[in-house]
Amino acid sequence: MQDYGFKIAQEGFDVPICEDKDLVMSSEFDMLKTAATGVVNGGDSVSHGLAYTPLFFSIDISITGKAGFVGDDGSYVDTTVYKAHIAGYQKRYYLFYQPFE
Amino acid sequence: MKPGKDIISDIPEDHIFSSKYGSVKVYAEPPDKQYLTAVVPAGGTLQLTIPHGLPFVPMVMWFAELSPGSGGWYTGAVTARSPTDFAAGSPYVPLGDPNTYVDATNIKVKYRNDTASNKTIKYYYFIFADNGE
Amino acid sequence: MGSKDIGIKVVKPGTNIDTTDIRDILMSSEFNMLKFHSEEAGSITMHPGDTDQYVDFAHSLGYVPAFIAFFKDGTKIYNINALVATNNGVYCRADASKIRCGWGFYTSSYGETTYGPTSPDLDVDYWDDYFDDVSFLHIGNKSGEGPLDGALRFDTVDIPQGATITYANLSFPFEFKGSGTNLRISTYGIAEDDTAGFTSNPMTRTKTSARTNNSLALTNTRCDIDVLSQVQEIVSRGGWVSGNAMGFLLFDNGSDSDAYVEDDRGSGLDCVLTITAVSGPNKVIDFRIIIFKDKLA
Repeated sequence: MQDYGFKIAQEGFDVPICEDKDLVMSSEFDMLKTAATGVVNGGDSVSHGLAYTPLFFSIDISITGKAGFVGDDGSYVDTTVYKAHIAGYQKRYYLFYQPFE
Repeated sequence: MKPGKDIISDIPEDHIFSSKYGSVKVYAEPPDKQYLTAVVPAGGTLQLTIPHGLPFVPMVMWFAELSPGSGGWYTGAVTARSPTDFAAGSPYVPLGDPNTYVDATNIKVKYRNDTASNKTIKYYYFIFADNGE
Repeated sequence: MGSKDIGIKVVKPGTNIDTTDIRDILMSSEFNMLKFHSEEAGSITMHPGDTDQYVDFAHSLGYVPAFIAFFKDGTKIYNINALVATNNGVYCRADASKIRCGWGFYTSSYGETTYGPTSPDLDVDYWDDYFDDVSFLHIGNKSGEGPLDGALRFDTVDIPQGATITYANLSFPFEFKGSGTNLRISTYGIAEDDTAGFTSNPMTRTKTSARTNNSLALTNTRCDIDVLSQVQEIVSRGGWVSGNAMGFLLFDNGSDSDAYVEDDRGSGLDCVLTITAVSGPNKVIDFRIIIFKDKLA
């Protein structure tokens, strides 16, 4: 017997026949799961509390009212912390439950 | 839950989704979910301005085919290009460009073309219903 | 009940389901979610001198998918696009069949070090063997003087010990020249760890086994001498240390009658030593990517 699940189609698409890319979500496909998000000053660290090195987004927000793009920031994550890049440059971070390895 | 995982598992990595934690949500993509194109003039720049319609500074993922016709897409606005695309003279966003950012009204990306011919780039974006700032 | 289609909406704990702030929504059928197609991992090894190393991850979607990519340098994980430099960077490039992650160098190579072009020639020591003079250099066969030899010394040559030399060029200007046709010279390196300044005649210092013979028409304005082997021999010495001084001995090698060139030190026309080298350990970069079902093109 197949596992039960569910899927939701995007507006204008029919669930039984649409392509995977036209779904909102499906229990068949993993999604990024947000473990934490916040804002931190450049140079500072945030402990992530996970037993692994998580995937993350980091966005530069060093100029009030402006943000950079996902991926364009030199902050990093290691086995214990998210470290915001460059003192004086504020960052918005998203830490996910997905591990790097 | 992911296949093979027990519903009672409390390990986030075992879940597809749980109301205990969210996922980043896509608020908008280009019209009809089709990539857009723009011409970066020879020896010049092109400022793209895209209103996002949200009352806050959202998180944005940006993708672009930098070397016209190459079929190769990159993520981010400021991006390292492969040596092939670099050699092809693809448009790019200079490191630290002050005209590339997301604010409470618009997405702004400014491309530069150092070659002697116009370049048509393709781009796509995901505007998230989540804080960028 | 409104006229909207019925769907699913989950909001953050403590938030009203009717919230108008979409940031309080955990999930809603109204908003697309990035759906995983696959997660992939791979690595590259950079060797000194490499200009592009990459690993490909096939995805079989038949279109260009959205993706996110990360790389690991030591113990640190970065988004790809981090640490972009002017002439190199870790990149990630998706097409309709694969995602390629790599480290590319656009105008140099991994582990590359360069020295020069040197600053104005007041930073270079000259020795003219005919006059025992440090204020100029003339080389060749000058009428009334005969064969002319000389030496040049460059200090603070920042090339690591044991580096592999990929390019080395010694160039000096023809500030003055004779009436002859061809200048013929032999150029050696000075085979010393850190050759001393030219306070005395350096012409008998130990020569490298490497030598370059050049025949240069005096219609030129400058000579370029390939000294790669000489430089390699010097930096391979056990006692060579980055930042030491490096010297060269130039001997007339049968120049035509009155075929000579002269350069005065500090005249504004520079003697130039340019070196490119690669060195250092191999470097492993690990990649992790998430390929989404969502289509870009």
